[in-house]
Amino acid sequence: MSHDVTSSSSRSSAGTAPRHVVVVGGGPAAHRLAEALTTRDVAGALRVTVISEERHSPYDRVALSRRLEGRDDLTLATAPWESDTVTLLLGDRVTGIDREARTVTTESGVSIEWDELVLATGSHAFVPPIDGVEHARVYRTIDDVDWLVDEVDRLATSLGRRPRVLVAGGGLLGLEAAGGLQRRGADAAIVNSAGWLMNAQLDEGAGQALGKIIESQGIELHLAQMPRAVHVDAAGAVTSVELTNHKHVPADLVVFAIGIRPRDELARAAGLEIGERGGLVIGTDCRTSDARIWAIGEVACFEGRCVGLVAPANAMAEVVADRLLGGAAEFTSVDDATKLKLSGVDVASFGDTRAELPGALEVVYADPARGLYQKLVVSDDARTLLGGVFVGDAEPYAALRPLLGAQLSADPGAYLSVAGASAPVDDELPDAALVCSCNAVTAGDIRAGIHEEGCTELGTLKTCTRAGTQCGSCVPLVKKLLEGELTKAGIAVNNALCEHFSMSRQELFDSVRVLELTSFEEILTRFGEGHGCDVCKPAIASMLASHFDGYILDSGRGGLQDTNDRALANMQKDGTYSVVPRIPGGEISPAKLAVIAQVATDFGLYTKITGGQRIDMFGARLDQLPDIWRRLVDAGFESGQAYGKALRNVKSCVGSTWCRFGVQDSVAMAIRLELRYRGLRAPHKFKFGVSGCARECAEARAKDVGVIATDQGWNLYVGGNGGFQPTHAQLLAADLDDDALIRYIDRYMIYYIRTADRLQRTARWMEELPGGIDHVREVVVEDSLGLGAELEAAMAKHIGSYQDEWAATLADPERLRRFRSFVNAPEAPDVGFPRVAEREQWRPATAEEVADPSTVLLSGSTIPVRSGS
Amino acid sequence: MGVPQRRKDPMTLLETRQYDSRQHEASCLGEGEREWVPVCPRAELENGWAEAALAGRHQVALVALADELYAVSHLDPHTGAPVMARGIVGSRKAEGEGHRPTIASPLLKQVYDLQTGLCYSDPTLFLECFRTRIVDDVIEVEVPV
Ligand SMILES: Cc1cc2nc3c(=O)[nH]c(=O)nc-3n(C[C@H](O)[C@H](O)[C@H](O)COP(=O)(O)OP(=O)(O)OC[C@H]3O[C@@H](n4cnc5c(N)ncnc54)[C@H](O)[C@@H]3O)c2cc1C
Ligand code: SF4
Repeated sequence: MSHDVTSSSSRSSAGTAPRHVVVVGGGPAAHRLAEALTTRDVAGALRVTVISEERHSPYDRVALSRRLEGRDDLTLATAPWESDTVTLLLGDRVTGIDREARTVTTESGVSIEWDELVLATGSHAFVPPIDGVEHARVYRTIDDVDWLVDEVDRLATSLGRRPRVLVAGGGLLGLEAAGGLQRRGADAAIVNSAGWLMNAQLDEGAGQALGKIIESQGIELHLAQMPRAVHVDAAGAVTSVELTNHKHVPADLVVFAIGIRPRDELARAAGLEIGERGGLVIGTDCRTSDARIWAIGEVACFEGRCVGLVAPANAMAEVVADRLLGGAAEFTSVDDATKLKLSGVDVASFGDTRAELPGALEVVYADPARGLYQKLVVSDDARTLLGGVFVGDAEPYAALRPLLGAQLSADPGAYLSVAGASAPVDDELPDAALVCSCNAVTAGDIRAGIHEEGCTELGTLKTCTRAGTQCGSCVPLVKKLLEGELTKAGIAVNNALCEHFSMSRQELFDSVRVLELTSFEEILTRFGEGHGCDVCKPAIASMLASHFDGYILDSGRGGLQDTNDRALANMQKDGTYSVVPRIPGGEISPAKLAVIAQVATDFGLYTKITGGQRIDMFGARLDQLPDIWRRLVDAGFESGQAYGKALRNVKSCVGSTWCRFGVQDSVAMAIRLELRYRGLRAPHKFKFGVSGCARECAEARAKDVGVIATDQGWNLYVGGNGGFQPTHAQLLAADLDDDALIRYIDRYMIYYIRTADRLQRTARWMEELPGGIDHVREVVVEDSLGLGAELEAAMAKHIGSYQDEWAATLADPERLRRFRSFVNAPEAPDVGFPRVAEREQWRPATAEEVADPSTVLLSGSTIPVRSGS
Repeated sequence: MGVPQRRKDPMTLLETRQYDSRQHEASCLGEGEREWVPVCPRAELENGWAEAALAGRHQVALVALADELYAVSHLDPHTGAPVMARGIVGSRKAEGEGHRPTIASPLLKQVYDLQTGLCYSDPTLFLECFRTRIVDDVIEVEVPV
């Protein structure tokens, strides 16, 4: 609904007119409330207006670190504002509440009447009143993050070195900020007031272990210290930060993440009851001291405290939604479980982490030198799980957290994976166990999603239950539950390729590679049954192409190929083909453009520019393909492989050669990449993009591999795609030189080709990989599996044996025979479909047009086809 | 221009079909007068790679397997486009009948039984089949006159 203020500024008088709910604040809590109201208020009892001072549509604050690393769009998935009953006002702040008149006024001077008022104003980051603090920034909003990223880039250019960033605060947010900025090309240091990191969640042993890991990432720690002053030079640029021990730490940028304070200023002015340490006091019904005013999220003070987590914010929003519609839901408890979202650093805790409950026992494994620490807190009989802390290896966290308060079936030590314990946690989760605390999804909800909604894939299960869609820490558990349920249901996590092969694509791929099987018949005899089908044949053709490059239609492999590969062209709806020559990087000379124009004219082809910066010529008959390609190959073109599950194109912007903003030659890099990876076959087609600067005109982040120029080199993004489930590529590594860029792409692509499922795009493959982008980074960048050299060698082998499929076809009369229209009339045109003129070209006629005698058909066919029966 | 043939009730065909693939001969039912038309030498066909051929006024798709030979209409029953010979040949496990030979439409991938013409994924579709035989190493297809 449009942002029409007048329409939302009136209050219903009485009777049946909908009541007006005004929500102040547009964070996750407000979003959840609006969403819950739009889905539940079927009777139309309410009108909702949400007022937020931020310019951005409500976004996922929890995921800010993704924006820090890769400029992700964090807008929350659903948009309740599209409903006619919800109005969203952005960029305006509420400055006053009049409880008598039941209105709020905003900075822009609007006054809005309400029947029910919900305060969801969240928190602000606390900044201590020290000298020079006005030169520091906080880490709280999208604007903060965007500013920090730009500032690091700006400083890097103006200083000619990595800027130094000092982060005050060694808690979850401080660590996230320091790690993210370090990855963006800064040298980060952390000051923390306690003697160890994450002191709010971790005990000393765990905090020390975490310190080891953080230091090993090159982040300097100043513990048991606080900033005293921020020093600047005459021009106002930050030079250093003075600590309480009077030490001066050099810094170019200072970020405060030392705590948050509820934004209760409006409520205070309105005389509502405020908690001792701030925040609006609410009861289990989420009402404040005024029965018509509610508070949800971080601004709400429940049982004496405000909680800086999204799970209780969501839960409170649901309670208020229920109550506004006459329900009696209650908010009862806060789940404090947390997991640090910093890649390469595993930290998680839940429950009574400090064993403060009476009789609580601790079972600890600590190896501070290796940065490993795991602890379970259990009841005095060592049976009931009360809490846990994990540093360095948080693998047991996802499975154990839902068992909080439940009986363990084994000795607690058996759950500590770092102690070499082998007992995998297989306690059956009770239906009531909370799996996703952010969205309050229980094991029972997930089972219902699987059995009742039929969500038997991780992606759809996440969407339909919402589990794992916010902080993501429960995804491994959701996956495990899914597999467990499917196995129980006898659906036996079916990875079988098809009815002819019971193995998964990956298993088959490895076996074929190890046994060096070279033909479909051999593979079928060994591992399969029957004669194959349109699923396994192309899949195996693709594997054979990956292992043994070589002409794809020879050696009995012709009949395995999918529709398009079979003709080395793309079949269209009328049985004709389209032809796409490769135009590397989208760069083409006028002379070559003229060749395409002439070929299309001579063969009567319809032409269209594709989404991949190439030219597609439509309407060629099978028997015309060799003649068309002879002309193209003679003019220096080669196959664009638009027909293959292979590299399609590398899209590029014009880059530094012409563009005023460009910092690298994106066209040259795009051509280099396209020529390197052309002909590479994979489980699914894939595309690259290269942009010459952060403006990203090539939309590289919508590609499987996206390369974006920086002042220092290239940022490499992976796993993006367009299509029906668009995904942004994620940052794999930053500021790479040309060689490192190519090395990582080599490894990434081969790793994908070897391990992905049939027809699985890179985005879905990474979603399903345990560990996702972090795992990929370990394998590709850190070479944790020691596979780097092997993966590079496999790519080198492919590159060495590349040949243009069309040139190879034209050179061999045997191969050309495959393009005859009829075995007994090789050049008789086979197309029976007539065409009609449209916009200076022609297209296939529709069935209605053919049936309509008034249609002007361009060309009928002289070929015999079955007369009507 | 030919309208692709559709039979609304393929099940009746299933009950009365009679074929014997071991004798390199597929039998499909059809009314009216038929004739055997020589098409091409057997050696022209590669096993597993279907090809289109002209048989009288019909476009047929020929499918050779190690010791079986099938001819079906080249027109895709769903769209009418002349493409069936470019589909993938395979098999489908059927209750009590072992692996039955199939061909998949290259356009929208409906799978048809090469011996009966029945469509596994959409029972309203039917692919016309023709009997075949080999005479002096030349393939012959029986088509309506
Ligand atoms: C970097 C970062 C990482 C985090 N990671 C996690 C995590 O991993 N797990 C987790 O559970 N939580 C995490 N959190 C905390 C989580 O983001 C918050 O708990 C959640 O955002 C609270 O939602 P909210 O709607 O109550 O408040 P907020 O998100 O603060 O939203 C309040 C909104 O109201 C606006 N507003 C305030 N006053 C007014 C006014 N007078 N008029 C108009 N608008 C106003 C604000 O500008 C803001 O947009 C993280 C937070 C940050 C900053
Ligand atoms: S991405 Fe940058 S270099 Fe490329 S065209 Fe856009 S502004 Fe220019």
